[in-house]
Amino acid sequence: MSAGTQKPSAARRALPLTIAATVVVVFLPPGWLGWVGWFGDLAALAIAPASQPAKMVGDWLDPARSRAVDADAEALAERLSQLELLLHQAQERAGDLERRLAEVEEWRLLYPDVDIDPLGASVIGATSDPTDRELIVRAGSKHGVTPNTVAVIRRDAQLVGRVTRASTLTCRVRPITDPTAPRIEGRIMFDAEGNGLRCSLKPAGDGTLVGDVGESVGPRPIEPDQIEAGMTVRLDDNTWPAHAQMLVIGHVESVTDDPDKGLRKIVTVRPSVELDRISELVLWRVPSPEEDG
Amino acid sequence: MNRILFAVLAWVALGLETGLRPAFAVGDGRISPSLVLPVAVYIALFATPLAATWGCLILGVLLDLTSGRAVVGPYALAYLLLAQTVIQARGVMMRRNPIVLVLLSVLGGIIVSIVVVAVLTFRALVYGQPAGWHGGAELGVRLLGALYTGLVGFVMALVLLPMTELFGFPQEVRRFARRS
Repeated sequence: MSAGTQKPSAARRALPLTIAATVVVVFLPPGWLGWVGWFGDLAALAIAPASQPAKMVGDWLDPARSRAVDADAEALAERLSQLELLLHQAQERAGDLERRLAEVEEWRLLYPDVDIDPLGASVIGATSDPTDRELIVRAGSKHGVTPNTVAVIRRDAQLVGRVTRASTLTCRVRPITDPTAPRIEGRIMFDAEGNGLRCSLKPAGDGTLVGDVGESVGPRPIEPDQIEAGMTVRLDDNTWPAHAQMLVIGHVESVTDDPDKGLRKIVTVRPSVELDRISELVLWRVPSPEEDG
Repeated sequence: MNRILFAVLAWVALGLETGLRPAFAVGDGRISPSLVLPVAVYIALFATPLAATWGCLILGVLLDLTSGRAVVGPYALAYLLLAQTVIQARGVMMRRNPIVLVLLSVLGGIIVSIVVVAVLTFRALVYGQPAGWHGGAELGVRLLGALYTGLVGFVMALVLLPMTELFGFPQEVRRFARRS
C-alpha cells in the first residue's frame, strides 16, 4: 500500500482476486455461508472493547425510556410484575394440568418440568446493519447459552426475544420488535384468572407490535370492543418454550378497526421499554439433562 | 498510508457504529447515520487508489461481518463502488474542505444503500424472502440514513481532516498546475 516495490505489486495482484472472490461469495446460497457467523462473532468480540463504552455513552445521552416514575415505584412495580407473572404462570400451568390430567404420561413428554437457570448479561452492542438490529450480548455457549434461549428483562418480566446464534463468548438476541422477527401470538389479559383475547402480533418497525385480535380465551366470553389501552399482553405462543409462556410482551397502546375486515380489531402493543436500547438482560438457560444428573 | 492508524480508526469507527448508532436513531428508530462511511470516504479521498480500494474493501467486509446477516459481500461491494466513485471525483474537489466530505458521504450513502438493497433483494428473490424484507421500504430508510450520515460526516470531518498528516497520505497533486 505504501513504500516498497514488492508489497504494492502483491497488493495490486491480490485485489482483482479478492474482488472476484467477494462477488462469488455474495451470491452463494445461505447453506454455504455458515462460516460467516464464526468470523462475525470474532469481529463482534474484537470490537466489543470499543462498542461497549460507546453504547454506555449512547445510553447516557439517550436512555431507553421506561414508565417507572421513581425508585420506590419501580421496586413496587417490579415486585408486582413478578407476582403477576408467577400467578399467571401458575394459573396457566394449573389449567393445563386440569385439561391433561387423563394423559399424564403424554403430558410429561409434551410439557416437562423445566428448570430455568437465569444468567444476567450485558448488551455490548448491536449489529451494524440499520434495518436488522440484533443485540450482541456478552454471554455465549461457554456460559450455557444456546440458540432459542429466551431473553427477558428482570425488572418487569418483559420478554426481549430469543437467541439466534451463540458463539463461545457472545450471543445475538433478536428482539421481538425487530422488523425481521417472526409473528408472535399473545393474549390480551382481562383479569387474573387468565381470561383474555388472543392476538397475532407482527413487529411494526417502530418499536411496537401490531396485529389482529382473535378469539376469546377462558370461561368468560370477551368481546374485542372491551379492549382498553394499558391492558397487559402476555406471550401465548406454542412455538416458544413452555417456560416463556405468559411473559409480558407489552401493553396495549391503541385499538382500531381493521379497514379490510369490517368488525375485526387491530391492536397496537408497546413493550415497557425500547427493546433495542436495553443495556442488560437475563438469559433463561435450560440446564441439560447431563447437568441435572 | 499508515496501516496501524487505519486499523485503529476502523476499530473505533466500527465500535461507534455498533455501540452509538441506536442512540442517534430518529423517526421510528430505523433511520440512523453510519459512522464508518465518512471514514471510508476520508480514506478514499486521500489515500493512493490502491490503498483506498483495499481500505474501503476491508471496511465493507467488517460491516458485513457485524451486520447480523450471514452473508459477506453486500457492503464489501458497495464500499468498493464507493471507493471508485470518490477516487474518480476527488481530482476536481477541494479535499480539505469539510463540506466535500459531507457531500461525498451523502453520495456514498446513496451508493451503498442502492447496492446493499439490490444485492439483498436479489438474494431474497433467489433464496427466499427473509421475514420482514421489503426492498422499497429498506431503500427508503437507508436513503434517509444517507442524508443523516452527511450531518455526522461534518462532525467527523472536523476530527479526521486534522489527522491527515498522521496517516502519511501522498501529497496532493494539483491537476491544473500554474503555467510557468
